Amino acid sequence: MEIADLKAAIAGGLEAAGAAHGNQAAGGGAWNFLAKGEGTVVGADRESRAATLDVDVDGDGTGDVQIQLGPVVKGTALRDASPFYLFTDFKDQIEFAALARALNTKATEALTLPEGDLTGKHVRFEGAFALRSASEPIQVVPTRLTLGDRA
Amino acid sequence: MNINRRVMLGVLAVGATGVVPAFAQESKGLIVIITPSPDNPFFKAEADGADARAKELGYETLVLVHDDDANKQSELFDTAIAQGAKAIILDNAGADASVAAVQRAKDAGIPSFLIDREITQSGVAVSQIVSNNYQGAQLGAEEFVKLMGEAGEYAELLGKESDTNAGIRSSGYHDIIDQYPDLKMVAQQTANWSQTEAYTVMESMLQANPNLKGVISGNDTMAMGAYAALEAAGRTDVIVVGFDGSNDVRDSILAGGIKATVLQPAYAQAQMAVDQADKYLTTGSTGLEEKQLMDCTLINADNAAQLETFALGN
Repeated sequence: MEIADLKAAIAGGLEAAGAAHGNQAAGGGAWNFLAKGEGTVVGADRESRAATLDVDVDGDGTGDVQIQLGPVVKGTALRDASPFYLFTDFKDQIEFAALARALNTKATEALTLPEGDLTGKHVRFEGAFALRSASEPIQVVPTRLTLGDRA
Repeated sequence: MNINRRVMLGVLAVGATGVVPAFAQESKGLIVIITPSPDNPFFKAEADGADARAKELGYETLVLVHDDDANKQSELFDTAIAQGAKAIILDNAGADASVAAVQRAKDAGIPSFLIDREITQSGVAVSQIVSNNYQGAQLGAEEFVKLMGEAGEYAELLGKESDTNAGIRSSGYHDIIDQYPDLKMVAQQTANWSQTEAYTVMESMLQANPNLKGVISGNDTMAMGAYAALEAAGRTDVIVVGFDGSNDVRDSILAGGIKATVLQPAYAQAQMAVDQADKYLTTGSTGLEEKQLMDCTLINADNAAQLETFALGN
């Protein structure tokens, strides 16, 4: 789903947006969404082990989506946005967590980004994110990320 | 054995008069609640939560303790079966060792609803509701990394090996902490969830590693034991992070002792299990996946004051 549409839906209420467009693991907790979008890089933290890009998707000059670049990836959104991964099908939490970690690693290992300052670059992304409240920042685990000068 | 008074009275009354007393007719039957020792306030909170909810819904209850002994747990299951329980709420005594007992209850027509700890098979219990220990451990680890300034020597206290929660918390911790090359684990040892054991283990860890800067613990009782040992050694500068969200650790955080913990919603989890048991008994299905994860919440000085008996207020 386009990030702009999804953000509008979430602004109207996380529960309703989640029920319509997201996935929630058994037991409740975060709503997990799959989204794609594009925007301009307005900031980055490439030094941290949990590296991120801040992307402005609505053109107001401030970041509204954070892209997780790893190697530390927060959360299990990639696993939990997928309705076919069920905890009941796994022997225990350890195996279920290993799946989430493997998905996160596969996603961030596949990223190829040039060194240096990326501010002002145009970026397209697809990925998953999790929200526990509508006011939380959106932190996307990218399954696809392409960078270029503004088209 | 903590047999519910009303059950005892009921049995006596039937024996004495041959007439079922009036209150027994209103009862929806017996729910047996089996947990580890209430010496750990976490297990007391879940037993209390389940007991209160079951009574609210009109069940008799029988609260039993297996003391993390799978043989004792097996006997308690025999008791539950013999008493004609409608359902069993269980925090089990071992992920592998408990499968047979839960299966035996199932074969006797008694559904089990598990809380806190998993068993290694699906399709034996009706529900397994556990805290999202991986998510919680990552929250604790992120806080620990921040408190440590991403560098220094640390030790880890592990829980009981037969409990999946010990392994999953450790792996959640390490998935975060191991990404920071300047954080060095100099000791890792089990203290079996025990406060007294953690005290002893911490003493020897500290002797062997005088430069210790932090301790990450698999639960709160071990964190309390470790902090007591650190205090006795005059090393209250060591950063301690726990897991559970007990009132003891809350008080320590507020007094500037232990730095953080991770709240598991023990009371709510137990109540949820009873609600699912009631729905299952009433309608034949919980309508939910068997295995369910409940989110955990980071507790530190910012929100510790709102914590009471494993629930966060506003």
